[in-house]
Amino acid sequence: MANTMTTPATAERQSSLARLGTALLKLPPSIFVIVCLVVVSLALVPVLTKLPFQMVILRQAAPVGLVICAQLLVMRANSIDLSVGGVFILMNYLVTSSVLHGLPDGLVLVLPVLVAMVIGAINGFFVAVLRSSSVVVTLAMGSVLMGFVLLLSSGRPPGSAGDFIKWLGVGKIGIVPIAAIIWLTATLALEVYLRRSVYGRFVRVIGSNTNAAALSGIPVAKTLFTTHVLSAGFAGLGGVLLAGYIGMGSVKIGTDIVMTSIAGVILGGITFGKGQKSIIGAILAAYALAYVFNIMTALKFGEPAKLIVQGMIIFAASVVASVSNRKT
Amino acid sequence: MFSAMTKRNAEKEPLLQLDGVGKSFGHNTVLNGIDFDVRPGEIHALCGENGAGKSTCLGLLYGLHQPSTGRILCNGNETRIESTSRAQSLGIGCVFQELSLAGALNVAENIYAGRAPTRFGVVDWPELRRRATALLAEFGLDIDVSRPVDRLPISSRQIVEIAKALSLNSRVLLLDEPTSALAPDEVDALFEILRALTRKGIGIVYVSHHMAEIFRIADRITVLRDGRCISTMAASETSKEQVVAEMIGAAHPGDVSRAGYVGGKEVLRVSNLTNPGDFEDISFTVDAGEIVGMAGLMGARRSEIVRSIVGLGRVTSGKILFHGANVTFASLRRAMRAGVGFVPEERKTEGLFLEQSLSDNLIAASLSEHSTAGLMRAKSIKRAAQTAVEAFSVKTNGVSENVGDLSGGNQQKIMLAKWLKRAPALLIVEEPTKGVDVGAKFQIHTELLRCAAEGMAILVVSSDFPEMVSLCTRILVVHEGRLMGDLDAAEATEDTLLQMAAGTVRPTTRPCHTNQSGIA
Repeated sequence: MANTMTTPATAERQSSLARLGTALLKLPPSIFVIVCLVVVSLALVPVLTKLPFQMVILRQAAPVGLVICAQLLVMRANSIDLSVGGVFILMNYLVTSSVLHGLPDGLVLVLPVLVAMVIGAINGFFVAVLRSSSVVVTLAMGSVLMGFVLLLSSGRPPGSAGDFIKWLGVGKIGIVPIAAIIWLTATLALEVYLRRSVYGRFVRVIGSNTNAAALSGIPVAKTLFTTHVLSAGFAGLGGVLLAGYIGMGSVKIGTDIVMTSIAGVILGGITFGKGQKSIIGAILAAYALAYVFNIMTALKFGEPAKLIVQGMIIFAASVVASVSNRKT
Repeated sequence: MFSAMTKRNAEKEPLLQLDGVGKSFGHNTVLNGIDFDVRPGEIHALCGENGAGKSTCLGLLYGLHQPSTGRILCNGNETRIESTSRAQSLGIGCVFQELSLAGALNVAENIYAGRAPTRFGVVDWPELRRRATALLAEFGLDIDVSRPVDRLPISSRQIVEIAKALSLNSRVLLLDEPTSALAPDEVDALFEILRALTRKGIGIVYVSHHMAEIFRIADRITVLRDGRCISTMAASETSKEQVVAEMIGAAHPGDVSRAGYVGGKEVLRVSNLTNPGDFEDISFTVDAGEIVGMAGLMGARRSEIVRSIVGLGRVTSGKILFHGANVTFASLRRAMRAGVGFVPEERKTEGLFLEQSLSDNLIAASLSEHSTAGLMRAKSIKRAAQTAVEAFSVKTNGVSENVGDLSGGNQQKIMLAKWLKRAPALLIVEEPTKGVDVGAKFQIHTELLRCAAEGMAILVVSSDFPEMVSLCTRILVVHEGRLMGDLDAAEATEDTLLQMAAGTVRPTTRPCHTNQSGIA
């Protein structure tokens, strides 16, 4: 029977090989990065591939993953949010200073996120209503937030995060980090909502052709505004989780988070406006970035080498992304 | 005189030649076995309906496209024109229908864009101005070359484009509808220039569907239809009637015929609409069941007028009455909610989401109709898309195909269907059949007439004057932001429309403000 099937089977294999090739190109670059990382860590630091270490990586990926998701959301609508670094610093300040001291656990989580959404609303107002450049507005906002936090925290000893926030940042249910559960639940819920909802449709068509969206009666300004608010909420949640993980006040935290968020979006295989690709790529991107960091720490790379490697990965990802865009 | 010239030219070696050239985009064959050449000192007209393949031919000659089959010969040698810069270095200049000048730069900078004379590594401005002035003087054009291009009238811009093409020492000049923005006296001036160029031995390919002009200027005429060469004749040996017949062909579905319009309730009344600098004192009405045309040349501000009505532009004074009630739509969304539809002119940049599916495009203007509590209903979307595909007989591989992969005609149908499915009381359509083939054109016209018969009020902005005459009940003619006339389409001819649109005929009476529902 195997003999009689040879010819069609071969033909099928060939065409499926070709199909596999095009399918591979459509995959987000983050998958390839992870495959490389697994190979490298198996060769050099095999212990990293063990489950407990994978869980550590997952926990570290959570704040980054949320901010990548936030960036992805605005970039799908042809906008950008460069204030996420400032938001992270502000979140850290709110969680570790005495401002929220003594409030119920839920509020300690929710209030900072709401503050982040107010910041998103201000960004959104400038970008959507006044039609200012999103790059300039959010960059300025990031700078304002950073200065604001420096002003408030100057001359004071750094505080420390409350137990609840720390628990969110480092706690586990079984072996699964709580931060990872929050991250994955929030991003997947967002993705499902974007796929099914009218709002998601608005974001998609605005990203596809803003001009045509406006001429189809899509509420472009309203959608952009909402997107900035929602995105800032996700960034804020990421900031709170990172503050909980670090456990204490810091004004250095989050300075490179803007870069990381954009790197994550590119690794996830998403370019401006082309909001078709799945969130999975972005989730894997966050994981890949955390993985790289851990491998380099295990191999005792210094800070300069880490920066160089991180930059190289982003270069490579953008090359892969442009090649696959040309092919499709 | 022409035949003598033709005979002389016939002995010369072609400057540029298409030899059995075919061109396909994906599985869409747009040209098939084209034989075409242009010789020194001749004007060779390329005629055909929209979608016949004229622009693709020019694209092949100018290095924008590569032939799928056949070869291109330049001075008798097989040549690959892989880019426009290659075309330019071969001595081929081109002026497209859409002007390609940089508006903020001045005339001289535009003409020598990227090739400015330099001195010590910086642009030599006096030399640049001197050269540009000298070049324009050859055309008898005395304009200040340091003026920004967007301050020039459209007709002068057209000349600047041609000058730019010739500044490359072109031996062949490709012109795509060069007179579409010109008034009759400007056309005369342009023709003088073209004749002067042919005396210098330059060969000109002249694309147009304007018969009268073609027979005034062309030495030879090639007719294209559905991507094939139908004939190539000396202009003196053929006639307008023959060329038109060849352009249309036997398979032509014919012009739509307007059923007797009996007059309905007034849907739209515009009085003294003004936005200084754009348009002034615009007044007209559109009734239910009526198709009113708005004709004009490029730059007549028709688009600004209709967009201000649907909430996409500014108006400083004047009134808009919709169903008899005074309205000012703050946005297109408001206008849509009131029952207005608007199909924009540019389908690629304004009308469609090219990398989205056909069904997603179709429902983009009626998302609320296909959603419950903020969530989309996939089944209802699919059903609606299939209905529209059947109603318009859209040629597609399925409703999930990307709109960008469809042909122009099918894209146009999708854009129209997207608005018709909202069943607006008033539909404003810009250029409903721009760049579509005759079959699609017929279908679009039929659909517009059907909607009008069902009571929709339709306002069509078009530069296609024959289309207007056959489709509309009344035609408004606009020239430089002013209404020049409000004609019964039965009395309008292509010529009168053109004269009015060019501003050469002033209306004897003020354009009427009264309801014209007496037209039957």
